[in-house]
Order: sequence, then C-alpha cells, then structure tokens
Amino acid sequence: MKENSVPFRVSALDRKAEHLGGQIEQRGGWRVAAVYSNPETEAAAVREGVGVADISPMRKLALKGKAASALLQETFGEAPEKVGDVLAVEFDDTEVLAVKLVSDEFLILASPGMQQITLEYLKERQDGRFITILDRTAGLAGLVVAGPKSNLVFRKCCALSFHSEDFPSLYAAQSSVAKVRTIILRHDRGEIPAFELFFDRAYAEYIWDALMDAGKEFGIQPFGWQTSQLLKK
Amino acid sequence: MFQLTCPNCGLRNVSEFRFGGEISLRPKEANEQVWADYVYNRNNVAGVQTEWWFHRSGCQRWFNARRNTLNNEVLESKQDEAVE
Amino acid sequence: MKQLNELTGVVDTTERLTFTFNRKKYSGFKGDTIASALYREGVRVFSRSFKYHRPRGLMCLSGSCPNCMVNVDGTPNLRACVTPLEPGAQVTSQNAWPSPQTDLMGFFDHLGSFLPVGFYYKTFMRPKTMWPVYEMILRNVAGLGKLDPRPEGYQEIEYEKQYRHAEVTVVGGGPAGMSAALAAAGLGARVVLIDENLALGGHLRYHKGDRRPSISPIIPFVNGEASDFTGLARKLSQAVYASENIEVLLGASAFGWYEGNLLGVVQVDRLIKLRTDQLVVATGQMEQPLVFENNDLPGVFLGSGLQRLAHLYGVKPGERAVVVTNNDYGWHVAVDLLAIGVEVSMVAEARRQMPDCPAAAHVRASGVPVLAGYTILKAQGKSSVEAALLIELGEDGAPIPGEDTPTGEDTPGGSEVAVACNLIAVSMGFVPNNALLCQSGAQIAHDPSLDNFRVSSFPPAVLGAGHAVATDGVDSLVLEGRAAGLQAALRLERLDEGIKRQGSSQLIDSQRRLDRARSPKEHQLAFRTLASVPGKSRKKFVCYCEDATEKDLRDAIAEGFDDIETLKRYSTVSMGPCQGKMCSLNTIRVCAHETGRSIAETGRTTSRPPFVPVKLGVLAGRKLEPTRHTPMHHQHLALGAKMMDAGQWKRPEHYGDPHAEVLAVHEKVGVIDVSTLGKIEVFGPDSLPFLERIYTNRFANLKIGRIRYGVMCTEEGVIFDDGVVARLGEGHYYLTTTTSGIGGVYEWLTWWLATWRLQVHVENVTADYAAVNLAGVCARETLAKLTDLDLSSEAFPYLHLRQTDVAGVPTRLMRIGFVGEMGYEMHFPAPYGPYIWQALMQAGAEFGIRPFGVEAQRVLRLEKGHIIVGQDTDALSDPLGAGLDWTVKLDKPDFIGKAMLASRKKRGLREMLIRFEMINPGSVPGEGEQIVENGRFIGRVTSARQSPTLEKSIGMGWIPPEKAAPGTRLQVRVNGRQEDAVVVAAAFYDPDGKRLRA
Repeated sequence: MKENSVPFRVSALDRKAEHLGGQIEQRGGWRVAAVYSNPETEAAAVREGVGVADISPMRKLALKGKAASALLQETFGEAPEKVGDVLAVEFDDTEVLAVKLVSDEFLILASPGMQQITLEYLKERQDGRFITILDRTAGLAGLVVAGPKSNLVFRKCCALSFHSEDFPSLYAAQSSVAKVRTIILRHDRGEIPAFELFFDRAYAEYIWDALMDAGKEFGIQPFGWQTSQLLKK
Repeated sequence: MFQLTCPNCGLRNVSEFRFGGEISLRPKEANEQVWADYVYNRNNVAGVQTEWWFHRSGCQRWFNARRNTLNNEVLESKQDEAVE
Repeated sequence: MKQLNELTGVVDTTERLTFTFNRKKYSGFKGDTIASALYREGVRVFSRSFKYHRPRGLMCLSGSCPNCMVNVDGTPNLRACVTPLEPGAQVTSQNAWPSPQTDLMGFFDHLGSFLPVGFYYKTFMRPKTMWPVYEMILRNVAGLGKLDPRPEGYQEIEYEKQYRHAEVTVVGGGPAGMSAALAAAGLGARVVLIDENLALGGHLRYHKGDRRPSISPIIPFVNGEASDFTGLARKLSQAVYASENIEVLLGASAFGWYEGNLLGVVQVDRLIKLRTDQLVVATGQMEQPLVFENNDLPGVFLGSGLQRLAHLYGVKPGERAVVVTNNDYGWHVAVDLLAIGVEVSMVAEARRQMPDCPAAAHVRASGVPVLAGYTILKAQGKSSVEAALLIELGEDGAPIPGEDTPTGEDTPGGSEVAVACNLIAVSMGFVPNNALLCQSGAQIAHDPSLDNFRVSSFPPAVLGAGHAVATDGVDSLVLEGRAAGLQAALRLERLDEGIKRQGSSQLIDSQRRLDRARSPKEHQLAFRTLASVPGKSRKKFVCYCEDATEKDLRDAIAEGFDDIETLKRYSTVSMGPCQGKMCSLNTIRVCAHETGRSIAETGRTTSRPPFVPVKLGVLAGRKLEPTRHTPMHHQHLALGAKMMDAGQWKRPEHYGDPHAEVLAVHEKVGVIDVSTLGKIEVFGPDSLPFLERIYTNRFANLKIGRIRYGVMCTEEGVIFDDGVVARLGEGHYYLTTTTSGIGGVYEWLTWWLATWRLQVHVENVTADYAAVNLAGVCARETLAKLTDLDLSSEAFPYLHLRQTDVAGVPTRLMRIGFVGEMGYEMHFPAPYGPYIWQALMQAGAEFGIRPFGVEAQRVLRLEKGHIIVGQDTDALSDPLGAGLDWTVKLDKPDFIGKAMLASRKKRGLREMLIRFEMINPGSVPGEGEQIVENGRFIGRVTSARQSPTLEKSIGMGWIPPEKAAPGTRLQVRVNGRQEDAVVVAAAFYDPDGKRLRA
C-alpha cells in the first residue's frame, strides 16, 4: 500500500447510528456505535420493551457440503443435529454459535476478534473434502432485536410464529422479514428474548427503518455495544 | 394463501416460494420436434402433478413437490440428496 | 334526552363526546357508535339510497345493511352503526345534496320506471359518443361515498398488517363462541377469540331472554347462578378473560377464509392474517328484513336492531311501535319495547295460532292489541314512518287472493288495518351467519324442517357452533360451543394422551347434554311465511345496497335470468357493500317463488370474501418496499448525485452533468459504483463442465487469472443474461451478472445443479463485494498510487484478473471495459466501500477524477456499441441476431439453448441488432420508437443517446438482416416525424479496441 491511510470497515448501518446520535468507536477495524444515550437507560428499555442493535461486525462463516457436519463435529466436538438447531460452544469465555440451516449447510457466528474459529482455521481442517467455506461477514448485515416486546415487532413483518413454543431460544429459521430473506436466530440474553437477524447487507438501512417503524408503538430504542455488554451480565 | 412444506424449513406460506413448473425431462437426442415439445409444451394436469419449487425466502434450495392443482393440496415434498 | 332507567346500555353517560354531522354540532357518550349518538340526538335520515335517492335510516344496528354509511374524517363508506364515536369526529353524509334530509336528487325516486333492472346494459348506450357525458352524470348521481385521495385537514391513516398464529381460533364471542374458546383453552390449546363488537357476549348483550329466574342448571359455567342472559354473558366473559390461553381480539371482523385455514381479520385500520390449526365458527345469525311496500322507510327496523339501540346504547327508539312478526322472537322485541316505555300499538302475528311463550303472555297481559293472522302490507309516511298498513293472511299463512287475480299478488284480498306509529319492528326470522363456513368449503343444504340453510358437513379443521349452524336455545348454544371447542382442541397433534382422554370424556358429556337440551321447536329460525308480502308496488326493496326491488327481480327472471347466479349478476342484488347479508335469502325466496322451484332447487350463490367491507388501505397495509443501498450510497448523496431506481437498488443517475462525466472518462479518469452487479462464485470439481453447459461460450481453454465475456441463454435460445467469467483457480470461478439479472441467474444455476447433480457449489456473493469501475486514460496512474502491483499492459493485460491489495484492502482487479476506455473493475469486501471510494477520489484528484453515473455509463457503452441485456434485448432476442454469434459455440457437446439456437441458425435470422446514427446530429429518437422504410414499420429503436464525444446522435435497434449492412439508409420516427439515419459498423468509438487494451 502506498498512500498512508488505514483501511477501516463500516457496517451498512453506520450512517443510521450516526444520525441517531450514536457514539462511534473503532473496534477491531470496524466503526461501531458504543452507546446512544447511556447504557443503563438503553438496557432498561430493552428489559421492559424492545431495543435494536447493529451486530454486523460479527464474524459469519458459511459452510456448505456433505462433509460440513463432520468438520463441525471435529471442530466443536459436536454439531447441531436438526435444521434450525443452534449449538453454543465456549472458547475462552467467548461464545461461538453453529447454526444448521440445511442438511449440508451451516453458519458459524463468532465475535469479530475471536482468535480460534477463523476462516483459515476451518480451511486448514478441510482435508481435501468438498466443503465450501466462505466468510460472509462482509455480505451479511446483522441486527439484534431484544426485549419482551420483540415478538410484537416481528409479527408486523414476518409470517412465522414467534411464540416461545414455536420459536425457542437457540433455534433458527430462514424466512422473509419485511419482504427480505433473513436468517432469524433466537438467542435470549438471560431472561430477555432476543432475535438476531442476518440478511443481505444492501437491505440494512431499509430493514432498520422497517423495524423502527414497526416497533414505534412499542417504544423501540436503538442500543449500542456497551449496552449489549451490560445485558450479558 | 396455501402453504407448502419445504423439505428443509417446514411448512411455509406459498409466497415464500418460487414456482418452477412441472418437472420434465431434457431430451437427449437432437430431434427438433422433441425439443420443441420440451421447450414449448406443458402437460397442465388438472390433478396431482410433480413440480419444481424454490424456497426463495428461506433455504434457497430447489425441491420437488407433488401438488393437486385443483385444490392446492401438497401431498409430498422432497429434496433429492445432494450428490457430492 | 333523559336516560330511561330500564335501559342497561353500555354507554358511559358521564363522559360526553362532541362531534359534527354535516358541519352541525352533536354530542354523544363514550361507548356510543356514530349512529347511536346521532339517533339519540334526533337524526332519523342517515343517507340517500344508491339509485333512487330514497331516504334511509337505521335498520339493523349491526353493520349488516348499507343504510347508515357515512364519511368520517375523510374516509368514506363507514357504517355509522358499528363505528365507535370518537371525540371531534367530522361526519358527513353521502350520496345526498345538500343533506340526506332534503336531498335535491330525491326526484330520482319518481324516475324508477326509467331505471329498470339491468339499465346499465340497456340504456345510456347510444349514441356511443355520448357515453362520457352519461358516465359523468351517472357517476355523480349514483353510487356511494366519494374518495378524496388527499383530504385536507385529516391525518394520514397508518395502516398496518400483522401475522398471528393460533391453535384454535373461535370467531364470534357470543355464548357458543365463548364456550368453545373456554373448552379448547381448558385442554391447553392456544386460543384466539375474535368478535366484531367491542365487548364479548354476542346477542346476550341486547337480547334479555325470558326473564325467568334461572335459565338452566345444566350450563356448566354458570352453576345455576345466572338469573338472566346478561348474567350468563358476564360469567362466560369473565372466565374468558381469566384464561391465560385465550387471546381476545375485539372490534375485529373475520372477513374471509383462505386456503390453509388462514383468516383475514380486519381490526380498525389493521389487517391480521391469522393462521390457525383449527377453526370454530360461531358467528351467530342475522335477522332478515321482510319485503313489503316502503320497507326501507326510516322507522322500519329489524326487531333486533331496536333491541340493540335500546340495550347497547340506552336510546329510546321512538314513541309508538307496531311489531310485525311470525315467531316468538318478535314477542321478545315487544316485551323490550314495553320495558323501555315505548307504546306498542299493535303486534301483527302472521301465525293464526297465538304462541304460548312467556313473552307473548306478558305482552298480552300488558294490554297490547294483537292481530293474529296478519302481516304488514305497507309502511306509510313521507320521510319516516307515520303508520303501518296491516293485512289479513289466509289460513295457510299465505296471502288471500284478491278478487281480480288468481294469485293475489297484484291486489291482495283480506281486510286491511291501518295503525298509526313511528316505529315498525320487523321480526320475521333469522338466517345463520355461515359465510366463513361456506368459504372454507362447508356444505350447506336447505333444511325444510327449519325452512333455512344449515351446514351439512364441515371441511377438515373447521367446525361451527351455535346460531351460525342453525342451533338455537341458549343452553344448546353453550353446550354446542363447548363440544366444538373440545373437538377442535382434541384434533391438535401435540396434546398428550392424558389430556386427550380427559377431553374426550368431556366431549361425550357435552354431547349427551346437548342432545337433551336441544329445543324441540327451534322457534326463532322459523320462516313460515313468504319473504315478500303481496302488492304490485315498485317500492318493495330486496337489496338495499343496490336499490333492487322485488319487481326488478321478477323482471330479470322474466328476461331469462332465472338461475340464482345469473340473477345476482344481472340485477346486482347482493353485490353491494352488505354482500347479501340482508338480501341473499329474500332473493332466493323470490327466485324460487317466481320460477316455481323449491328453495333447495334454487340454491344459493357462492360465498366469497370479504364478508364485511374492508378498506383498500387495510389490505395494502404498511408500505414495505425493500430498497438496496450500495456501501458508497451516502458518499454519492454527499457528491450531489441524482439517484434513480434500478430494481430495488438506488443508483446515481448522474452527479449533475452526465455529458461532462462522459468526457471525463475519455479524457481523464472516471469512477462509477458498480456494486449492484450480480456476483457469483462457483466452486467444485465439476465447475468447468457446469459452466460449459450454462453459457453459450467455451471456457475449457480459459486459464487461471483470465476473464471471458459470457452469454447465457434459455432453452428457447433467447439471451437470458450476460457478464464476465473469471477463473480464480482450479474449480473456482467468479461470475458477474447484470444488476437486475442476479436473482434469476442464481435460481437458474441452482436449478440446473439440482437437475444435473454435479459436484458444484454456487454462492451469490453480490452483497459481499462492493465494486467500482475505474476507467479512463489516467486510470492506470490513479490505481498505481494505491497498489504495488505492476500495472503495465504487459504484466497485467486486458481481460486478465489479479488479486492484490489496493490501499491495503484485498481486491479483485479485472481489466475489462464496458465503457470503452482502458480501466479496472475493482471488487473488494463491501465494508471497505466508503474507505476505498475515498482513497480513489484522493488518489485521482490530481488527474481530475470524476464520479460518473448510470446515464454517462449508458452513453459510454453506446459509443462503444456494447449491448445491455434487457435494454437492447427482449424475450425474443437471440445472440445470433444480437451480434454475439461469436459467443455461441454450437460445436460444444451441449449447452442450454443449443438445440434451439442450432435450429434458429438453420432457418436464418429474422432481425438483427444494428447501430445507427442520425443524419441530424441533434435529433435523438426515444427508446422504443419505430424504424421505418417507405412509411412502413421495419423495426424499433432500443437505445439512443446524444454522444458528447462524437457530437452525434447514436442508437441501436432491431431490423431485418437485409437492411442491416453498414451504410444503409433508414428512417426513424422522432417526435412523430420521420428522420434519416444510417446504419454504422459495430462500434462508434475506438472500433479496433486500441484504447481498451492500452
């Protein structure tokens, strides 16, 4: 590289965060919203109503191929069994999720700075088997909609049933959200229902607006990275 | 709106799918008549037929479904084992 | 007006709400509907009828008739009797001028003979040229409310859509529905209970029952405590609200049943798409009007309409009433009227034998005069009821024939009695509200013992209970509802065995009790007399919505429309806003009577959604138009780009001056955001054979790091999409598609994969990569500032690909030239989009870099003669005619479209895509304009632009091959004139590609 600037990555929701007064920080080469008002207020809104946060920087590794399940087995010691199952594995206190999307297709979700589970790591263990492993971090935007009223927001834009019996935590489905194909993954934060959405990054601003509009009557609030940390506790 | 069972994702609204038409066999020989029939003609069955469907809003996989075209009852849907 | 102490209305008289009706101030109470408030304030005429502008007043109070439709805050056609009163509402009447009370168009009522049935098929037809005039006049005088698309001073309504799911859905919150919901919830089912009213209770809210001390000890939820219907309703609704498993939707109308047990439910401005495993329909019944002269006069009510007015809203409906009935229900109405202080001047009972029900005994004991064997002949009065003219019926309950006619229909015999009154309560029986059941596929048959239609069989996953399936008697309603709720829940797969056993024994118990409780008479549903009373008058209305009279139906039948379905279509009866609620049964009866067929033989019309009026806004729902942005979207906006739609994408059309952008590319360097291009990666050992079959081109000889333009065809041999194919490695290819083609291409590729079962994975990575095209004479120098790669033409030639870091970002660089100048298409991870764009603009600043938009790109590629699939091709264009025959390798063993292309080639081309320039350089034809020869059409223009580089007007078009030789003179229509053009060779600019390969 000749010009002396440092490459930075932005989420497709960068401008939204800025416009909403988000305090932008650089984390692992990404610009992310740390907080909008203050973490306590945002956390309270999520606990009582519904909140939405950008989780686009999450690492998203896609595996396709008949042997993908075996590769996961070798990597995690187990693999999600049925389509829709989500396996949560701890690596040094960081959680990695493995989602079974189709019998021969999986999505691995890890935090952006995660050292162990990387594209290279998986490729090294491919061992000549026909498995396509792609890092979809760039292509998939991510949002989390969390709070007891999140299902009320979803029923305005998705035809699936979000009843806990039909859609429990650590379950995933692919369907249309506001007319956009989306991977919906329920991953509760303790007692708080939380749905992670992953979809084509080009739709990110549209989906954000659609969710904010649908959630208006429930007082939907954006929350930042700091609040996410607070909710984990 | 009728519902269709995706072999991967389960029962979904038909609006999540793309209809791929009735299944037909691509001719092997170079007979023009046979090709014209394959390209332009459909059986258009009033009853049960086997069709292609694509789960556009879901897993993005093609599969075959047996559907009664008279009442939209889907009798069976299955995806061939991916050959790899 | 003082409140009547007997009234137990649900209105809250402590809270007064003011509103306006036709700009005049009125007030009502909290809990009122617009209709109840206006009626209490003395308004009697609510609207003018559709065709004859006859005054119409309240009749059903249940949203079943069109008589009270008004405009509320700019929204037309709202039924005032079911629209809750909101403070400050601005209500106006419809189809009347200046007011419904004094409507100047009322003279249409005297023109009836000029507006016969089916008049729109017969009159106002000739001369044809006059139709626009007729139409304007007709539209002004006929019809319903007016829609103002931009009503001033009103807030825009926010419509929304919701998806909901239930295991058991019960429609109807009356005794049967509430019992069904409770029973299903008792077994653990997730239940949704829907009622169109704002409170549960159904008819128990306004029908006060026999006033006996206790209804029955067998009703399980009441435990013998209830002393009247109100108490029963309260008990049931309290239990419903106490149940955790029941979600209640009030003010919600289930307007349609759709495949897969999907219910369309409208709740104010919200559409709910409710998917349910099991459905219980307990939608009650609808009282039916009687067809007699002036039966639409304000003051003529359905008996249950008066009960609603009195008991739900605390309104005393009038001073003196005549009750016309043929069943016990009418006597209950009389009891209720007496109880609220209305003088009942007469009860005309069509039956010769007085009923021995307690209500009748009560009425007679109160000294009310009674005429047995009588019914109503005519309502008298000018704009409201002043008297009822009653007439004697024969022994058999049929009209007594007049002296001059054998049938008695024209001038009936029998004695007549006139009774002064200002209210006429008509209570001639009910019809089950089974529309949802019919829509769901339930079989409905005419039951002669009831003289009514009832369900003979249910489709899977649907049940009915209560009045909706012609069951009567409150004990039976509760028990049948309970049985239906249990049955529905027992069908759920997830119930465990213990619960199933428990439910089954409850079900057996309920059914046993139901058998005992069923009323032997089922009196309420009896329709033992004609729907229509004799009399030749034109003013006997069958259909209130469409102003169709009994005479209209007779005339239509006489004209041959004697099948119930054709009769409906010709006379438009039942096709108005009420959708047959008030007229369907009476039409069947008139049709049966006129044709001499039985009711069963006559049959009924097909029931279709929507059953209640639904606003189009509700069906449209929230505006959801998926929009895609490229990673550099906000940078384009900051640069002042004028954005345009490209499918779902937003793209810069230009940044102010498209011609300057064109020249910048030719003379300096330009950059365009092409992130919208479809991008696909293909992996796997069978990738090559796969691509060989997909594309018309050959790829077997494509080396790693090389790029080739490729064309995909359909099996018809028609161009489907185009783009480049780059070979990244062994069994690894990178494909681009057109912006709009990606979805279709991805599905196309995966479909053939599923068919051929090759070891290939196809991944759509469109969103993963941002892409820009850096093009122009200074493109190389600009890029050189950002990368260490040797960019010389020798090291990195045209149609080669390199993977390298650009400004520190891993990038796929492709030397291709859609815009005709030497350049690089750069693909890099999308999150770096803003960074790379910034880096390029900075690096190119010294060379005068300029961003260019879609418009400049279109001009540039046209100068170069490159086609755009979908712009210059259509569903008939093959690559042979499009000048892409060099991509078609018919010597390959197979590819999609090969057979048809081979046969097209054999037959010869029918048209060819040519490039032309206008002789007059300032004349630019529109896209789609005709290409003509001696005034005759020979082809069409697909693209045309003014080229700032060549200072010419250039274009492309399809014409027959014999006219396609360069130099051939053509004529092209421009703005209606024919102008000269000449065919030119393939490219206007850099025809030998020297600049491109530089």
